[in-house]
Amino acid sequence: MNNTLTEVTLKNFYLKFIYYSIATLLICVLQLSFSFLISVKGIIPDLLILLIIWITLRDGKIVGLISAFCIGLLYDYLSLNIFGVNALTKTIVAYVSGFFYKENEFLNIVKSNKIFVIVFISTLIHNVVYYLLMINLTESNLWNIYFKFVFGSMIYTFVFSLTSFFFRIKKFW
Amino acid sequence: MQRIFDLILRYKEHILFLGLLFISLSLLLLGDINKIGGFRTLVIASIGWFQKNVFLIPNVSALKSENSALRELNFFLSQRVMNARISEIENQALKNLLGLKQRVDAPFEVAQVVGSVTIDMRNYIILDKGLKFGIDKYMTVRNDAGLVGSVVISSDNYSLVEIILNAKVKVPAMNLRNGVLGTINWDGANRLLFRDVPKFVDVKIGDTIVTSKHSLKYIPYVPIGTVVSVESEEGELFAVIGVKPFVNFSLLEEVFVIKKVIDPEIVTLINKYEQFIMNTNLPPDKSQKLKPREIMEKKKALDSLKRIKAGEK
Repeated sequence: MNNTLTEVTLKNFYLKFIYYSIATLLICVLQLSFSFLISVKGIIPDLLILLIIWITLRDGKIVGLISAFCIGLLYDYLSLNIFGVNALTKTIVAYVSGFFYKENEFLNIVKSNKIFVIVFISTLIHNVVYYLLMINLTESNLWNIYFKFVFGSMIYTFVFSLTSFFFRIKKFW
Repeated sequence: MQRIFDLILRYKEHILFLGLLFISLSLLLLGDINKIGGFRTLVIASIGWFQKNVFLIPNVSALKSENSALRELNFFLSQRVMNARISEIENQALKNLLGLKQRVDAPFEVAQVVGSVTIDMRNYIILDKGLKFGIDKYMTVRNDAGLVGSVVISSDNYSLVEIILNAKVKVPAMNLRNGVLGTINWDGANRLLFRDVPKFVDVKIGDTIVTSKHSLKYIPYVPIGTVVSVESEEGELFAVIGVKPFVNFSLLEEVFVIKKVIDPEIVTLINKYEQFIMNTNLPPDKSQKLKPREIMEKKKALDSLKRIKAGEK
């Protein structure tokens, strides 16, 4: 009995790992190769934040933190960014959204307005830290650019989080 | 031990978070932090704050080595200053010996570019200062990078500057390396041409072109651009020399107007001569009609006279 339970858990773990890996790769490809399609004045949404929030709310803080760190590292590697920048910021996202985690409450959270609060706070903190690290200090209108990217990217990512409304329509489920 | 273990288990998420943060920051520090300006500033500011507020006891050995390095640097710099002073004195002496004029640094006025306009296929920029600030016609306009143009007309509060990106503007210029003279003229596309330079003259890619001291409109030694291409076409006497301007004309915001104009006497003299040339090139008066038949007959008579003289000989 115990052995069967372990096998099922392990199988679930592998399946989740595969699903999340595929989702990560798809989002990375979309963000890196097709960003020009969704870019508005140089601002692109960070869909990986949504994925990390999803993982954290579904599987808990620990899984969320580890996944966020790995996703961040992978994204740094693929985007030829400085190694560690996205790993750091994405880990922060997982940590912040982890405060809203409740066991077996994933769908309820996604269906409620709480999800927007989580996305808003996590994205804001992510962008504040990310652009604080990445901003070019030689820019003449430093703060304008900083706030443009912080709030622009936040709003754009937030718009994508509105897709959670689909979970409220029963026909889809 | 058990308590510590319990504590770790209790705060495992926070500990894991701190651990991952530590790894991320370590990775950042291992990379090229110059690329991430904000992070570099944070690191430097944090280290500075820690050194100021936390490390109250000074590190004696570090201070010693810093002092030693500073003394070394001081010595090196004082040597450089001394050498520069010696060079200045030598330069002065040589100039006196050769009777060369000193390059006077003329006063200047800082002005903002408030607009641009095209009149008769010529490009102009408008400055927010004019006669009230002493800006007048024929004054050279430059920015920190190099030559922009010259003032063509001024009102009390505004000035119109003819920039060098005009096909009809010719700037007397000089190769700073060897003093080869030529004329800078816009090719109508994206580069300037250093014209009137014979093929055999030594001009290399990377040479700096400045305004010539023979220019009446522009003050001398204002940087214009660098040579980016030297081509010599078959059958042509002059080389085709491309120059990339130092000034980015699309991003002009602030310029300096050099308050130095040419002697008005020279202007009067040139104007007088121009008038004279124009008068001599005027077409003949309609009242003075040409009589070609008469001229031909005169010529024939002259030729036959020459022939007779040759026969006598």
